[in-house]
Amino acid sequence: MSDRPRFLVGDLAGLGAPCDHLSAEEAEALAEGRLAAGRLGEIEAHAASCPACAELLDDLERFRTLASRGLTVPSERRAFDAADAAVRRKLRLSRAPQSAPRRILRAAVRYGWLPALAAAVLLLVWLRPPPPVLIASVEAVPLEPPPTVRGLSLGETWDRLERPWNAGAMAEAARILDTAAEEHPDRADLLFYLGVARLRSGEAASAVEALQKADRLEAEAPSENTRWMLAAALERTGRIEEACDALRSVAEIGGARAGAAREIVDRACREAAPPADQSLP
Amino acid sequence: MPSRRLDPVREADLGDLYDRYAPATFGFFLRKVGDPALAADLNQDLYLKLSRSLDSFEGRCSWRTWIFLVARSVVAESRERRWRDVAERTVALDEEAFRRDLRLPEDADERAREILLRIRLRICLRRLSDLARAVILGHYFEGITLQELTSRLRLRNPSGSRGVLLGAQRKLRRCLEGAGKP
Repeated sequence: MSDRPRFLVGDLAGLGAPCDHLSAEEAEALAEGRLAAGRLGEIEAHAASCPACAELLDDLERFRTLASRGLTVPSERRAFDAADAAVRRKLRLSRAPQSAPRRILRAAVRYGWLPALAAAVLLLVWLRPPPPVLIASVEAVPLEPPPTVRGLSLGETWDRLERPWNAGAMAEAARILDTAAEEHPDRADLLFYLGVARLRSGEAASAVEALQKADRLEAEAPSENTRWMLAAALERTGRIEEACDALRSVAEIGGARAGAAREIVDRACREAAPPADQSLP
Repeated sequence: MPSRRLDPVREADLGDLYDRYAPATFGFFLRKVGDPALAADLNQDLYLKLSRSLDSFEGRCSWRTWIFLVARSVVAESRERRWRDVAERTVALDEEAFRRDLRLPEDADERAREILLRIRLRICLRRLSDLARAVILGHYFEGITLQELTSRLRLRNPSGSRGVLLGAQRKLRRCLEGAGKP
């Protein structure tokens, strides 16, 4: 034990002495993006050996992303929403949070943009993707645990997943799968189930993302189920041509879904077919 | 999210700031501490602190920068409170177990090994959430069992400290392999 490298707990915990490399003014200029490029380079080089400065740069990047994109991880959004009311009460913020549409409407009234806003709404309604015609409904997919469970946490994932999955609680299932897929980014099965859960809970865009990742991992042996679900997800985001392509590949794989895929392609994908096909006898 | 600056005199009130930034600051705290309940407490502390110092805001920087800097100080204060009693204690790294579990290659020379341990390890540990860092610290530096860590850290997730440890190992490995780069 004595020859083991020793450390101060406070240092490892991130207490330590604050770095005096950056003054408060410089930290502020850095956060504002007002720092000269040369100086920024110096700080980045210094951060390679200074935990305090490395943490500041990490924090800044993290906060900028969050402030510009908001909470994009569904589980984080739910955690925020769960705590929001209590914090508002404590801070005595009686005003209810305004949704984005209300904020836009208020600005439109204030600045006289109402006619433009009405036109934009009409345009959006007109451009809204039509209801699904390729794959009208996404069936429930039975949960099949992997034949060999690699690692304790994945086994637990399946145990935890079983109840919400079988009860059709897809949002909860997606939450569990989200965490598991982050821990095991190389597991196509987790990403497939995550895609299905998101799709069935109405989050088509993020379903596309998960299913495309699963499909990439299965590149050597594409799965007709993954591509079928990907087609359904793509259709629901308005990407009809890509959905048709996915269905064509399902037909090519030649499994149990091939007939249905071919029938949909023949019935509804003609317009999206490449021109060369139209000249065939 | 906000694209224009709030006028510091006419428009700023706590409600505006909260509506605009509370989700972002909550996410920031959550990633820093790893626990939603603690993140919610810190978010509340932040806006209480902001409400008390709203009048002293001079408009020298944007609201976003000001909130960011105050949020960092809230994290630092919380960390200080939690680690104050044990901060001066020294602990020893079980380097063999650490290298084995994180599948780290042996460094060619003593100098590289020293850099890894003394500098990169500290930098990479700071990139973890407080919760993940506490599990790594307890497990590899203090030899506390995962079961005991689950109980001491009052973890309620089904996989307990093992789940936190697995995520922390993955992030640490990526950071250490990348020579400290994110």
